[in-house]
Amino acid sequence: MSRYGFYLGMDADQKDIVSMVKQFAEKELDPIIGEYDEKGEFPMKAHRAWGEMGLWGIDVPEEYGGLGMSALTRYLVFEELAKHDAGFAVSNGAFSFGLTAILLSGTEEQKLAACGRVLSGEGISMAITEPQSGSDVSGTKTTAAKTDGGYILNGVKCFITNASLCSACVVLAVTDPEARYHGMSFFLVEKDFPGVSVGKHEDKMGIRLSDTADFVMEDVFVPDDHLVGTEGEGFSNAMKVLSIKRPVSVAGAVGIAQRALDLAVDYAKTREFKGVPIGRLEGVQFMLADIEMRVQAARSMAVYGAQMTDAGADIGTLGNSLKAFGTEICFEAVNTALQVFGGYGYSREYPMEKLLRDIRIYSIFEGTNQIQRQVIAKMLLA
Amino acid sequence: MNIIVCIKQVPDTTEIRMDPVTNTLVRSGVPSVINPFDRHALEAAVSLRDKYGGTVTAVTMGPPQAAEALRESYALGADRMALINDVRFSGSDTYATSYILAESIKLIGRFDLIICGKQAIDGDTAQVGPALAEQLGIPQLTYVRKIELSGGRIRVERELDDCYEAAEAPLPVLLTVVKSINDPRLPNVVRKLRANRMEPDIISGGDIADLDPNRIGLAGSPTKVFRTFAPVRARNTVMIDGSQADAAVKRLLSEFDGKKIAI
Repeated sequence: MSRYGFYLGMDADQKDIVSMVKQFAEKELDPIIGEYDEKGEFPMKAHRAWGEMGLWGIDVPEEYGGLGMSALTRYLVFEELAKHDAGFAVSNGAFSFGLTAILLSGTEEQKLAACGRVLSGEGISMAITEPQSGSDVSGTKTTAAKTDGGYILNGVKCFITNASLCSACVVLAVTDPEARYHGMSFFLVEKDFPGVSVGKHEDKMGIRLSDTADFVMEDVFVPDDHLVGTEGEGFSNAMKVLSIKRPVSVAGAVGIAQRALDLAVDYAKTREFKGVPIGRLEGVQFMLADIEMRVQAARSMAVYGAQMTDAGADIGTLGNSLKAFGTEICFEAVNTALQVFGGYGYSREYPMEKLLRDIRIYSIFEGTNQIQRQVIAKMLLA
Repeated sequence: MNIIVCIKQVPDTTEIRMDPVTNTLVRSGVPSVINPFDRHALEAAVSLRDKYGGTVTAVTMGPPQAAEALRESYALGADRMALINDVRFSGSDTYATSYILAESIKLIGRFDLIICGKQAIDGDTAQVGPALAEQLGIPQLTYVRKIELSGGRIRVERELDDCYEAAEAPLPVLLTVVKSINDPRLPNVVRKLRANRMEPDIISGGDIADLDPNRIGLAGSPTKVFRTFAPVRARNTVMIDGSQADAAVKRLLSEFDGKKIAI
């Protein structure tokens, strides 16, 4: 285990919290990861244990009965969790995606109810992506037609984390087709509303412990009090949610990369070449140093982003940079670590290949790195 | 029900390091944990409290940093924390420790049950629990793997080497528990953060009336640890020709004598 492989500035509370997350992961995740990765299933038992530890309330503000953890502390929690399994970390975080949207623009009643659901472990997910529009959010086809007392929603959302697990989903739908980016709104759609169904579970390359499925709506009536925010605010709120979550979701990539580094270092100490541990060969040493540099850089950017978020700053291009750059260098780090492992890195009987499968998604979800570049350039040139 | 759980803060065994010069355990910089058996004791106590009501008090005798183990106990469900700490107690062996614990527990108040872990993983004597029961003059049931309560009596299953034994006793009683009794819960984050802002009740020598100075610390310790060392394992095979049975047996017995092995 690297002596510098974690945020060096943890206070006593943070050290305790990270230590408890580690205890949880060693007890509830480590023994079952292989089996659940094979099956591609989310471990509900571990989710309940997380709740018993009092951790369902991480994203819930203190005034609503939650832990009200800072972005930095949440970053630390998810980096530690991802060192064990990033898929669990992704689904775990997604239980409160919808909550973030509601806290941003919902009514007091909606906030109270949403906090209650997250505190009870039910969770509220968020659905933006559709089969024909991932990066192209303006191409959203899910419609919300105004009717007496509410709206009728029609559409298919795909690649939705926790679609099967959460009791409700905050859905982005078009309320005014003419207004494009200003014509979309957020709706809280209960899974038990007539017309709602959850589609096939995605058989993914990595983060297989996370739940990913389609969220389908056929003539679903959603009452007026389930509109989150005002009509037309949906797109900008969605972007704000992603921006708020960004430093904490990059924690997953850093956790994976740190684990890959630790595995590669241990391997380099024991694997021999001509009677000498490969860690004595400069070529391998340089590879390990390259991995370490990248993990340190990715962590530094994400921690800086989390700290500035906590300070109330508008992090702008820092947010997009830490996402795009951080995830790319973490991928390079894991890829290099696999190379150090050689043939054993390719075998499913050793932990390395899973790390490469897990890290690959990070340049894609939560705004592809290509979109991040677009946003950065636009902000620079504005 | 008022339940007292005796816990001990011990070095984390996954991080064991021996000083190559003195051949003793390196303690500085090594993280400390609640003795694993004591976690089972705590879980048993908290489960009983959840079922029958009452309070669980976690008690430990140790240096100031042992307060951290008490905070962990609070996170694991204990209601109260008591640290028995006095510079005059240091150097106490199990006999002196059991005396100090007994006097301190009398101060803490009326109790129905005391639960201890079977043994501490650093000392491994398994003596403090039973000695404490004797000092307090209460019955003891050791190696407990199952607890049932009814009508002011306790019924247990004890895990012995070759059988399980059912036993019962009236309250108050002291139990020592084995690992198979339960699967300890994970600590609660909210409780731990709260505990980080709490100080345990401190019991020092001055709080105990008529504390006998000859029964505490080094003065009160009949046993003294001279050295702790990892034994050097050497293979030394002696071949005995078995064709002459009488001679072979005599040879074997003299080998045992030479190595001071009693049969």
